[in-house]
Amino acid sequence: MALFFYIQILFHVLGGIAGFLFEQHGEKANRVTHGLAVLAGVAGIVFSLGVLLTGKPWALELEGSFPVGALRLSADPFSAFFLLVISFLSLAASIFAIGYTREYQKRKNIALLGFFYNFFILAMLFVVTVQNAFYFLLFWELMSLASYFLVVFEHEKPEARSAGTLYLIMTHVGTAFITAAFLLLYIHAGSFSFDAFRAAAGTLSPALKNVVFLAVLIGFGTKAGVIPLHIWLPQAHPQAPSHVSALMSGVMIKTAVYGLLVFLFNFLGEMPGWWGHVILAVAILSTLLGILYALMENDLKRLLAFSSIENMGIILLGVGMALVFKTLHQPLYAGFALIAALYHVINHAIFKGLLFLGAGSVLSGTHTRNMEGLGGLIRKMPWTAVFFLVGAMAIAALPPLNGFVSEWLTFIALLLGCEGASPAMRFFSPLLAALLGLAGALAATCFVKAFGISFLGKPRSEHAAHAHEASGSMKTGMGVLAVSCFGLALAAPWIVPVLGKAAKSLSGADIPMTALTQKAFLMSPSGTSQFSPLLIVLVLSVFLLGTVILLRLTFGRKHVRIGPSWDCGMPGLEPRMQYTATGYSKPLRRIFSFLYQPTRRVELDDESHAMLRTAQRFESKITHHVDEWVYKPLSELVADLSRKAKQIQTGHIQLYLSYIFITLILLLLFFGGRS
Amino acid sequence: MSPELAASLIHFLGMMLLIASFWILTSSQIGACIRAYATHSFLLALITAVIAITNHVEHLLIPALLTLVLKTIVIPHVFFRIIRRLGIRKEVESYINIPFSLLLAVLLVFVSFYVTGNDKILKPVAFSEFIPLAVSTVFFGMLMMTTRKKAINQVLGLLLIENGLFLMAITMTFGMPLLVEMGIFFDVLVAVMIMGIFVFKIRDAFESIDADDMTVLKG
Repeated sequence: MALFFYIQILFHVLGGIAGFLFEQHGEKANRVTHGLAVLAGVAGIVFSLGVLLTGKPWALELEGSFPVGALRLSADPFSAFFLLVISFLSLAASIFAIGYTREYQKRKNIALLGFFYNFFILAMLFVVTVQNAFYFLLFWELMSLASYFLVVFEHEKPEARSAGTLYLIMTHVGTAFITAAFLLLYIHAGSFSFDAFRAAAGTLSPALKNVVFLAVLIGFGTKAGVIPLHIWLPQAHPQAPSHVSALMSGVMIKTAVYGLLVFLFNFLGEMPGWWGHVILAVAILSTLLGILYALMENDLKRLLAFSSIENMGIILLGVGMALVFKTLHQPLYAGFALIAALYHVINHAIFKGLLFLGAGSVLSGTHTRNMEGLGGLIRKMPWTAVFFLVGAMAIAALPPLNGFVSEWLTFIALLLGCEGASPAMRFFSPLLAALLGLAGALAATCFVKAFGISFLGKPRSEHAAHAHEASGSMKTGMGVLAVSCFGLALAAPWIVPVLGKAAKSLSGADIPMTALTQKAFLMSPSGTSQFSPLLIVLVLSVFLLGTVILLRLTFGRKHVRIGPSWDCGMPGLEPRMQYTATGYSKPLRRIFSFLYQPTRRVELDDESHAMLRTAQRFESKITHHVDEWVYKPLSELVADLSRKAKQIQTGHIQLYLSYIFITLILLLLFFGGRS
Repeated sequence: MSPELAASLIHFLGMMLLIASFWILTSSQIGACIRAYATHSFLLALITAVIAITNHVEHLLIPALLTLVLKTIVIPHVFFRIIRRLGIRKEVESYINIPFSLLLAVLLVFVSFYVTGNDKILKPVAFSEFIPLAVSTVFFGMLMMTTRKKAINQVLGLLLIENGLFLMAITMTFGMPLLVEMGIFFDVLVAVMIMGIFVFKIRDAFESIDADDMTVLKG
């Protein structure tokens, strides 16, 4: 089995390098580099499924020359689950990339793209398997840097450069906190190895534990993009090439969940109750604000990026409930909440990957991401439209698709809070469930907008009118993910026990699977509710088929008439008469105006002719409070300090030398000196 | 050589070395500066040779010989060629006048004696009187680099620092392994060549070798 993992690593390395052999021939480089990534993905799926299904962990120890301990790689079912998610999405994204990167071939170096792409995936694979803090940070940094270069891949665009810089700053702030957490544990345990951290977990002092927890929450929270640490995410994810956006939103931010879970369940031992509450608070804030901001976006990829923030929130709701139950010593409920979180990890990877690939397909077909310029694509790009619709339905948690299953599990996990938890949780957990419901409804609105404005109606611009369908490999890449959206929903009762294995290998607590699944039914552990995705599909298809047959029987075939739309007696329907993306979200902008604080400005170009208005300009903006209140003052403060520090930077080489000289003499006087 | 003779010879050479250091700082002509540097290096070679003979560490004779050849003959020669080809004015331009640099230099000698006076570190070393001299040579080099305007003086300052470090190394350790010594000499030679080229490039870019003009490079 381990052979397949070695093959995966080998193929990614080869794929990264081999492209340079064909640097002059874009198409060859593209096929080699992405083709090898596809094969590596297949190998990775075989390996991780092997570990996950048999439950036999794999480990490898390489003695290095660094004084930080051996490089130990291992894959228990928990790691294998993340390996599976990464391998599967990278498989689909690589297939998609073969067709998608063709448009870059004339002006960009595909070999370079393939190099960063392959090493980005490779770094993520190592992050979730490595068992040594030093090497974890090394690969974590490699992952961040590779993704930075992918974000600035189109560096001729100024917005890509500024997004890249912001990403680089934020990710390093996060890494600094993670490093601090690891160093604190290192001081305590005396070794960088994860096994030593696990062994020393019981003896941590409460104060140290709390500090490590907060550092870890900020560090991994930055990578996960939870509010208020999210600002880089909606900037950076849309700038990368779309298949990379899919990987960044689909799996890179999930490595933060991996790190957080490993810390919380393995390194920190017994935990105080408030940790779970803090995580729940952060999670619900991200869920609600993420989707509310997504609703106001008219840029397709930015909208998806904000929705990633929402979904990270949903995952963290599961994690938070797992912590709450863990502190209350209810392993069954904790395991259930953990399963809900893990299920949403894989689901979000699949449908967000699918949506980003769909957005990439729209981008390559129309060369615009602005929804106000799209419309009517369903006729030009029918396949993309179908796949995007599947993704949109999945993310909106509509029943026959996978999003519904994991959100149902999360709901149940939240509602279980009423049954066994503390009095505070008894009050708050139904409230959280209600807010999650609100977020679900908003997500549905958001994706009705995304799909409806982009794909339905009439084309709003020349770009959209001359759109072309995606190529075969792009359709295949999206198709794989769309099918898995159905597969992950229908197979839910058989997937949950597998996730149970992963959760068990993380927390060590035994989860009785019979309490969670019975035949084709998913059960709530308290036994109060159950549902079967298969049954839902059956009922839905019976209703659908029944309606169709009934209509055919009563009216017959000839009753369908096709005629022009009613145009209020003014002939000539124009695309401009349609709902705009901004207009569609207007009601919600009104309802949540206390949050958005929208500002709008109307300017007349020609003030003198009040009656004959030839042109006017309209501007409507919403306020991003976190940016305004936290980051703006912060960046001004940093800029201010830099300006002050600049005064000692005169550019005189002699002055710089004398700084060194004076420092040296002062240090010598201070530490040397006659005794 | 009797121990007494060796000791007094070394004292004498040390004094001469300090005087040569002062000479470098006080020279108002670049040519004199380079000659002073050559003298300084020559004294350094002598000191190395005396240490080698008195302590029977014969392999130190090779660095001594190299110092003699490279630092007393080759490098000054390269410098003279550079200033001839640059055609610059022969005066040393400084931010502070020569009496004041002399005053600072005296102060630095005091500092170097003060900071190296810690018995705990320096007791076991045989020629511990050279250590403050080595430190003060380093200080002089830095003073030269920080107060002189022309890029060529900065290069000289750097070489002076290198001489100080070399003196420190041979007195503290009786010479590093030969391979390391050779490496250092090679480094110094290459550094002079490269910096010579840089000085020409600076002249081409700024039409002078005044390091002040480089402030326009600041962002």
